[in-house]
This record gives sequence, C-alpha cells and structure tokens, in this order.
Amino acid sequence: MSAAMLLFASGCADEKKPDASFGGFYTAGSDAVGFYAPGGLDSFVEGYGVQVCTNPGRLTFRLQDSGQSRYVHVEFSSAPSEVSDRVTAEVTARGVDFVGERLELEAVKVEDGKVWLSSGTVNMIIPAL
Amino acid sequence: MRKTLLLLISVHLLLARAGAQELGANYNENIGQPITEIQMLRNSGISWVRGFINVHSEFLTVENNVITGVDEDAIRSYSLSRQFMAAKASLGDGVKFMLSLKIPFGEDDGLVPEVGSEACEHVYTAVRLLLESFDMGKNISLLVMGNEPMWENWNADLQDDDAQDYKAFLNEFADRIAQWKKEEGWTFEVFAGSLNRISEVPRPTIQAVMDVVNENPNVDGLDLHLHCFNVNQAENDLRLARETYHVTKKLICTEFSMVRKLEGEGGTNHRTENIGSWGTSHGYSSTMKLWEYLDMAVQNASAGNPVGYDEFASLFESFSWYPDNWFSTFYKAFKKYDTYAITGRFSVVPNSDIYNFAPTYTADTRLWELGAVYVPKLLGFYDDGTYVPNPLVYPDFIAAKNGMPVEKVIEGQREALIVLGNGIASPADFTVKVWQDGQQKELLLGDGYVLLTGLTPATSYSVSIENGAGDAVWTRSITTSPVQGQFPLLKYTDAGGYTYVRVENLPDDAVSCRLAADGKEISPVMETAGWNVLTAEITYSDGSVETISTEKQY
Repeated sequence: MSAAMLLFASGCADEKKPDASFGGFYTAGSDAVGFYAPGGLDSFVEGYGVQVCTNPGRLTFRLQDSGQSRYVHVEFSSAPSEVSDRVTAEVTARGVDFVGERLELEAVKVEDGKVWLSSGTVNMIIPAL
Repeated sequence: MRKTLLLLISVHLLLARAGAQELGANYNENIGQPITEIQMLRNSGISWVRGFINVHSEFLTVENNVITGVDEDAIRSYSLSRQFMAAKASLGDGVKFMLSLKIPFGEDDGLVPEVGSEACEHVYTAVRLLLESFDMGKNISLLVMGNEPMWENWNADLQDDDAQDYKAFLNEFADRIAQWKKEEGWTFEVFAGSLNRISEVPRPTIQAVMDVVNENPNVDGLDLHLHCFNVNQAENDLRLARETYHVTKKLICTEFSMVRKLEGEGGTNHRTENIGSWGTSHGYSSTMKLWEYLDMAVQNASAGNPVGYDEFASLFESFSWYPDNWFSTFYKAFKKYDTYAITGRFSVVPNSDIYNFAPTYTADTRLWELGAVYVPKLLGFYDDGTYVPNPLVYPDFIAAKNGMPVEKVIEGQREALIVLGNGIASPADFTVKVWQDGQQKELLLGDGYVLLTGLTPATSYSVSIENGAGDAVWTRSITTSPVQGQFPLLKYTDAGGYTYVRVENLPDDAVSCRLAADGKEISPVMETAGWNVLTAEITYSDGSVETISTEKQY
C-alpha cells in the first residue's frame, strides 16, 4: 500500500478510500490547492506568485502565475461536494504540461472547504465550488 | 498633500519638447545582477533597467570567422536571460526593461553579413529565439538593435565598418522584428544604435544608423552613448542628433559617463596623481596616488571600515580637473533635447567581477565605477544593508529625480497611472491633457497621481501636463497594453508610494469588478503598502461571480 493510501487509511477511516483504478493520491503531505502529477513528480499549486480563481456559478477553477506564463483553467461538469462524486473537467493550460485536456475525476476527500479530486493522470485539490 | 487634478481630454498637438527623461539603471552585460538588488532598485524609484547580451559570442557558431549556425540550446538555457526576466517579474510593471543586442561583426569575414545570406539568417534566428526564451519578448519594453556598431563593426586592417551592408541589415532586422511582434503579440519599442561620441567619431556607420532611424517606420528611435571627455560633449552629441541628423523620433541614452576625463585621456593620468595636501589634512600621505586611495577604500569597505561619504566627496572636490556635477549637466542636456529615457550605471558591488573589473584598484584600473549611483564596493553598506551612495553622482541623481514632474507611468490595458513627481509642487496649478480621438472628457482624479481610465487596449495616446500659462512641462506618448490573455488576471504594481491594482483581460460580459485588500474594499490606487492578500470579484452578465486572490509578493 502506498504512503498516500496509508495517509487516507489512518486519517479518514470513515471516508471511502481512493479507488485503486484512479492511482491513489499523493501530494507529499501538502493540502495546497492545485494540481499534482502522479507520484508527486510535479505540481502547480497556490502560493507565492500564484493566483487562485474560482467562479462557482460557472463551475470554474483556475490557478495562474502573475504573468499568466503558467496557468491551468478547469471547467467542471458539476460541483463536486461529497466523496465519490464524479465529474468531468475540461482543461485549458499554458506552461503546465502534465494536466491534460479532459479529465474524469472522482472526489476522494472533502475537508476544510476543499475537495480532493483524483484521476488516472492528474490529481487536484480545489476550493469547494 | 491632497490636491485634485482635473483631467481634460482634448485635441492636442504634440509639439512641445518637455519629454519624459525617465531615469534608469544600466547593467551592461551583467544582466544577472538586477535580481540581486531588487529592493535597491525599488527604493531608487528608477523606471528602467537596461542590459545587453552579446548575441554573436553567446549564441552563434562561428568557424573561420564565418557565422555558421545558431546554438539553440545555449539560448534556451541562458541563465542570465532567466535572471534578467526574474528581475522583471519581481519589479513588475513599475519598471520597464530594455535589452540591447550586441552583435559585433568587426572580426567576421566580410564584416556585416549580407541580407539573404545564411549568416544573416542565423543572426535573425538567434534573436528571435532569444526573444522567445523566458518570455523575453513579452516582458521587455524596448529593444535596441546593436551596441556601438561604429566601434564593433570596425575592422582596423580593412579600415572599414561596412556601413552600407549594416544599413541593409538593420532595415531588414527592423522589418523582421515588426513581423515577429505581430505574430507573437509583443509590444516592445525598437531602437537602433547605440552610437557613441557621434560629434567626435567620423565613422560611416553613424550615417547608416541615422538613415535607418529616420526612414524605417518600424524603428521607434535612436540610442546614443555619451562617454565624454569634456562635459559639454553630451549636449554636442544630442544637438547633432536632433539638428544635424534631424532625428525627430525618440532618443534614449543607455550609457553615459565622464570616464575619459576622469582618467585624463591624452594627458595626465589622474589615477597616478598625488592626493597632495588633501591627503595630509585627512591623515594620508601627500604622495598617495588616487588609485592607491581607491584601492584602500575598497579594502576598507571590505573590512567593514569604509571611508566616509563626506571624505570621499571632499577628495574629488580637491581636484581641479574633476567635472563637478557632471550628471546634472548631462541631465540638462537630456531635457533640452527631449531624451525619452536615460540609464546610468546603477551600482558597484564588492567582491564581484562585474564590468570585468579586478576586485581592487591598480594604476590602470578603468574608473567606470566612479560614475555609479551607489558604490558599496568603495563606501560600504548601511546597517540595514542598503548601499552607501556615491557622492559624485547621487546628489545629482536625486535632484534630477526630485525635479521630475512625473515619477512613473504605468500603462494598463484600459487605464494608465501617472504618478506625479516632486517637480510639480502645486498640482492644482497644472492641467493634464490627453489626446483621445478628438473627444473631450472631464475626470476627477486622486492626489499625487493621475489615473486615466476608459482607454482602449493597444492604443497610443499623447499626454501632456501643462502649467497655468499653458506651457507643457511634461509630454509623453502612452501606449496601453494589448489584451493578451484568455482569462482575467489580477495585477498590482508598486508605483512610487502607491500600489496600483487592476484586473486585466476582462471579457466583454464582465459587468463590474470590486477590488479588496485583506477583505476591505479599495480603489485602484491605494497609498497603503501594508496588505497581505488582494482580491478581485468580477461579476458577469449571467450573475456569476469570479473571485481572484493573490498574496503579496514583496
């Protein structure tokens, strides 16, 4: 069992564990809003110089740096709010290659106003929309 | 002092010579240095940072003195470019960046490559790749084609600088850059130059460059270097450019100094001059040489026991040959001949090989460092880590800065902020006029600044500030930035005591935009710097609200 799986097993006993078909979830212990490549090999997260953009009415979430040389804009098919919610995301990105263009995601954790979403190719933590 | 300026937008013919004379910092090839002294640059209030890259030596492959190719990997991985752009990201929109392209052809077979030749194409390709790297083309505001070509293309054996081929090269270069700008959405201005000592050096390249500046619509201006022996040579060169070569476009000066005078070119080498009775009255030997004093100053500064600012000043006051207040004399000439921007040597830091100097002084050490605004290498640091300024330049630099009617101009997409300088003591006595498609409009503005709103992206406006007698004390062309991004972007800029906040790339269906700092609503221009989180709430026509938040980066 991976470290990520152990994390969820120990801290989230009442929540559904990540579906193995989505590759688990690994953020190197971070709960920063953003995008995470599998195995923690790359990430684009909130923080110094990165802007967080949300539009609940349009179901969009975006991270961008201060010059928009890097950004990831995601439009969801619906607002994930509970564990096991499944959503589709259309992605527009620049300078962040690991995210892809269309994702099928499942909510694996909901806590502190954030939603953890997992797919087979990229995972993300977003503010609740 | 809170005053209100009335903005009148009216038909305005830009005839007055009351240009911007914006102050900047020159780093020559040391474009990795600005990122190491961001706070000093912010504190100084300069509006420009300038450096050059030697495209020929860094990015072209040369065999038997023939340009044979482009080292694309070198361009894409050039750490100095990355550092230069990192400095731009840190300084933001309040400081504009200039890049000069140093392309010396003087050692090449045939000198300047003919337009259409493979060698010529390699040069253009290298520059395009350079501008694409690290978003350089997007983030610079001004590009200079060339650096002192009347020296760098000159071949002493041939006694030739291949001026006609250089003219053709520059014209094609300018046209290519214009095409790239259109394709990439870049907006930087393009200048030709730099020309050094034009009133003294009779090289054919000077006329060639002047022709390109005057005739090519894709060239926005001329860059001059003023390294003078006599203090009046600065005005001579500027007058020659305006009145003999009839340059009506913008002038900039990216390097200027009195180093030739300081070293006693053609006469006494002042570096080997005794400090004389001044020395004995300050505890030194009268036979100590100037270079020995400077070397001692460097050693003392390094040991944490620097010579004092006043002592250093008085030493040079004791020299009859020293050109007192040369910077002020130059600046008056810059104003007289409407020089758009000037970038002088900004800082000389210790224990570095900047400008390829030795860490200490000898009798042959060039005296470039004496022209810098800040000289911690010679005079040390203050307790808070800031640099001790150079008494030979700093007072004049501050006087120039304090005399400026406008301290900063920051152009947004649909707005432009003009921060007034100390040169306008009573703003109520002045009027701002903007040429905007023949329409007149009145706006009430905040104190100490002018915020022009309702502008169109990627559009140039002529703006002037006039005194009560109708005389223009400041004129400038302002060009709003284009809409380049697909999504709204929250921007904030440190603007001379203000923080200027706005949202760019607003789509047509955005109905309103509310700005807040730490949860409290703010206006676009705020005086307080004590905030941590900025937020923009954009309301769209469908009723949805997009929230953008960012933490302070500095």
